[in-house]
Amino acid sequence: MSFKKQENQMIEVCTRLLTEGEVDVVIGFSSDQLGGCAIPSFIRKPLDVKDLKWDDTCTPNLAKYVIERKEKVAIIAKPCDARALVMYQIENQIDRNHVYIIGMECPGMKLSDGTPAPGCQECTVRTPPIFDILIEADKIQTFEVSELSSNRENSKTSFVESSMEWELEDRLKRFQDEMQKCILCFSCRQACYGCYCKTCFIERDVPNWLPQDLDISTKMMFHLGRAMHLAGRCVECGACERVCPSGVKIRYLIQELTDLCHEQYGYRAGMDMNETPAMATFSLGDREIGFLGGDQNES
Amino acid sequence: MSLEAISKKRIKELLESLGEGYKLVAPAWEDGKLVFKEIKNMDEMVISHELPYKSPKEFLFPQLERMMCFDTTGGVTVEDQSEKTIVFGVKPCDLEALKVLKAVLAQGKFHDAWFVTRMEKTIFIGMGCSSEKPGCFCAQRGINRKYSSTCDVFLRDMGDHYKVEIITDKGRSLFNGLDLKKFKFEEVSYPENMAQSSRPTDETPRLLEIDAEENVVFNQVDWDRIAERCLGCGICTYLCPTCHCFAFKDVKEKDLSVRYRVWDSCMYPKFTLHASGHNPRSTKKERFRQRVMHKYVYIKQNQGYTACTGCGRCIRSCPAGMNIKTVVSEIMEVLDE
Amino acid sequence: MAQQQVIMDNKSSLDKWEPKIIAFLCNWCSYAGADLAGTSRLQYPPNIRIIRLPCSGRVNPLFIIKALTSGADAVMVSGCHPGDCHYLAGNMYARRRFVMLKRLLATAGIEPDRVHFTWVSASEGNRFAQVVDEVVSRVKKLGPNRIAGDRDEL
Repeated sequence: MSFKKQENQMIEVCTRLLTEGEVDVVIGFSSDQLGGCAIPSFIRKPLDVKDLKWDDTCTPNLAKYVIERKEKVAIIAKPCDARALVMYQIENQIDRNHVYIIGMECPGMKLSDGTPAPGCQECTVRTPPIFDILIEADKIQTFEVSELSSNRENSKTSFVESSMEWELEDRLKRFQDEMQKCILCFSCRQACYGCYCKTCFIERDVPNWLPQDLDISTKMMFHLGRAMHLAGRCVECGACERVCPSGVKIRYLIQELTDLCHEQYGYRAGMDMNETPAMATFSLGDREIGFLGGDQNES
Repeated sequence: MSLEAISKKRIKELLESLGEGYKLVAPAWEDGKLVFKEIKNMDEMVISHELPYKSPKEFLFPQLERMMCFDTTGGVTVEDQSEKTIVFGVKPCDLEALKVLKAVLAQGKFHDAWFVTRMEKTIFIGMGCSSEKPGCFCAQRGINRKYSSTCDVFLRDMGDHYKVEIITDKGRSLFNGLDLKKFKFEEVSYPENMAQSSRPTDETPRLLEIDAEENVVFNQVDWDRIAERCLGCGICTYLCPTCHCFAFKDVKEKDLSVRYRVWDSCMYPKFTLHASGHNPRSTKKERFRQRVMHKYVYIKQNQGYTACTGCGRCIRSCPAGMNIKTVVSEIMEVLDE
Repeated sequence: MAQQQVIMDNKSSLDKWEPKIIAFLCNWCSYAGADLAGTSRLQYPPNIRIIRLPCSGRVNPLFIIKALTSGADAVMVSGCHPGDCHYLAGNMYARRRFVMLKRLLATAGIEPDRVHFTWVSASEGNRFAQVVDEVVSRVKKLGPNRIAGDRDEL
C-alpha cells in the first residue's frame, strides 16, 4: 500500500518538474516487459511520467546514470542511490545544482524470485541522507524474514559470516571457490557506482595489471584490486552481487573493509556531504594494526 | 535418414552406451541454473525442454584456448586440447547459432584450425524446445522451436518416445554397431502428420529483420536514447550463442611462451582502442550500436542471414533491462516511416 | 593442478627454497636506511629485492597484490616514521591504506605474514637489518606463496 502512495506522490513531483522545465530528464524505474525487476528508465516528456513505477522490485542503482550528463536531471533515489550521489558530490563527479534528488524511503527491494536483493536485507539506512524532496513511506516495513536485520551485528553474520573468525584455510577456500565461478565479464565493475574511472586499472596496458587470461590469480588480482579501490567508499547497494551472471558472492570482502573503516575511522561512505572520506584523510593517532613494531593485535 | 523410436526412459542408458570414448556434455543444474557441463555421473544430467542458461558455444570455442607454445630454441608446438565430445540436448536456437559460428570460423578463405578440429570431433544431439522463457523470441526470428537440422542427430519428441533422426554421417557413425532394438519403444506407429503437427501452429508474427542500407540504420536511429540504459558490461556477448569475438594473449609459463585466445567483447572500451590512444567507439552508444548492427546488418550483408537466433539470453540476464527485441522492433518502426 | 605440482616441487626441495621478497622502500628514509645497513657492513638475509619509490604514499596497493599474484613470496613496505615524511603526510595516508589492505588480504585467506609494513629512518641501519631478518624468518615459516599464477605477461 505504502508503495502505491509513494508512487503517486513521486509521479506528481516528476510531472511538476518536467512541466515547469526545472529538469530535462527524470531518471526512474519502469516496468520490465518480461515481468522481472524494474528497469531504469529515462523520462523526458510530462506525458510519459505515468510509465514510472515504484514498488519492491526497483533494484537497480540509478546513480551511475547521473555522471557525465550535461542535462539537468531529477533522480528517483533510494537510500543507496542517494549515498552514491553524496560520494559523487564529494568526488566532484556531479554538480549538485544540476541534480534534483527525489529521495524515497525504502524498505528494501526484492529480486524477481521474491528473495531480498543483495544488500537489502542487512541495510540499515532506510531514509536517503540527502534529497531535495523526500517521499516518505507510511511505515517502513522491512522483510519479514529479517526481523533481526535492523541489528547490524546479527545481519552481518548472515552474509559476511564474520569471516575473520574462520580459519585462514577456510577463508582462502571460500575466496578461491568464488573466484572459480568468475568469468571476468566485469559486470560488477560496470554496475558499481564507485567504478567510474575513465580507464580502469585492468584496461591499462602499461603497466598491464591484468593478463587477459582466466587464471585464478588473474581473477584474484581483479577482485582484490577492485575491493581496495572501494575501501571506505562502498555504499552497500549490493549491485555487484545482483548483476553477476555467475553468482559470484564477493561482497563480503568489501563489506569487511566497510566495517573496518567504520570501526577504525568512524566513517561510513555517503552519509554526510561535509565529511572527508576516510581514505582521503588521516589522523596522527591512527592505529597501526598488524604493522611490524606497531599494533600487533592482529597478526 | 533412419528412424528409430527410443523410449524416453531409456535415453540415459542409450547415452551411456554411446558415450564410449566420448566426453558427454549435457544440461545439468549448477548453482540453481541449468547449464551445459561435462557429465561424469548420469544422475546429474537433466533431460528437459528448458533452454539452458548458457549456450554450448564454449565447447567449440572455449573462453580461454591454448593455441600454441614457443620455446627458447625457436620451436613452435601447435596445441590441440580438443576431445571427442557429444553435446546432448541442444535446442534449435543454439543449433541455428552454430551456422553463424561455422560461417565465420570455418568457411571462406581462412579457417580457424582450433574451431574446425573441435567441430569435427563434436557430435550435436538436438532436441525440441517446448518451454518459452520470458524474453524468448525465436519465432520472430523465423526459427522452428521444435526442429532444426543443423545438428548430427535430432531427437523428435513424440509424447512418450523420441524419434531419432540421423542427419549426418557423423551422427550415423555414433550408432554404428549399436543394437538399437534394446532401447526400442515398442508400440510404435507414426502418424503421417506428426511431423507437420510439431510445426508452430500459432500465427507467424512479423519477422524481426532489418532490411535497410547500413548508412540508414547507422544514422537515422536515435542510438543515444536506445543505449542510454546500457551499463556497458559484457554479459550479453558472453552468453550470446553467436558472439565470437576474441583476443590473443601471449604469456610466459616457466620457460615457454604460450599464445592464448580469450573471448573479447565489443561492449568493452578496450576492444577498439588504437595504439595511438584514439578510440573509434569511445562511448556505449557506439558500442551498443555495433552490437546490434553486427547481428542484424553486417553479418546479413556478408552471409545473407541475421546472426540472432532469438534465444533471449541477453535479455534475461541484462542487469539494466536492455532488450534487443524491442530495440530491433523500434528500429523497424523508424525504418517503416 | 599445475600449481599444486609447483607447491609439491617446492616442498620437496624446501630446504633449498629461499623466499623472494619484494621490498618497496621510500627514497628519503628507508632506502637510505638500507644504504646505511650496507655501508655499515651489517649482515641481513639476501632474500629481499628492493624497489625504490619516492614515498611510502606512492605504494599503490595494487603493487602489492600484483606482486603476490605474480609469485612474490612476500612483500615488505617501509617508509619514514609518521611525522617525518619528506612530503609531510604521504606516509600518513599510506598507513590507512595499509591497514585496509592487510585486513582485505586476511579476509581473502592470504596469510597476514605475507605483507609487512614498517617504518625505518635514514639513521636506522641496524633496525633495517633487524626488520629484514624478522620478515625473512616469518616468511620462511609460511613456505612458498600459494596464490601465484604460473604464468606471466610477456
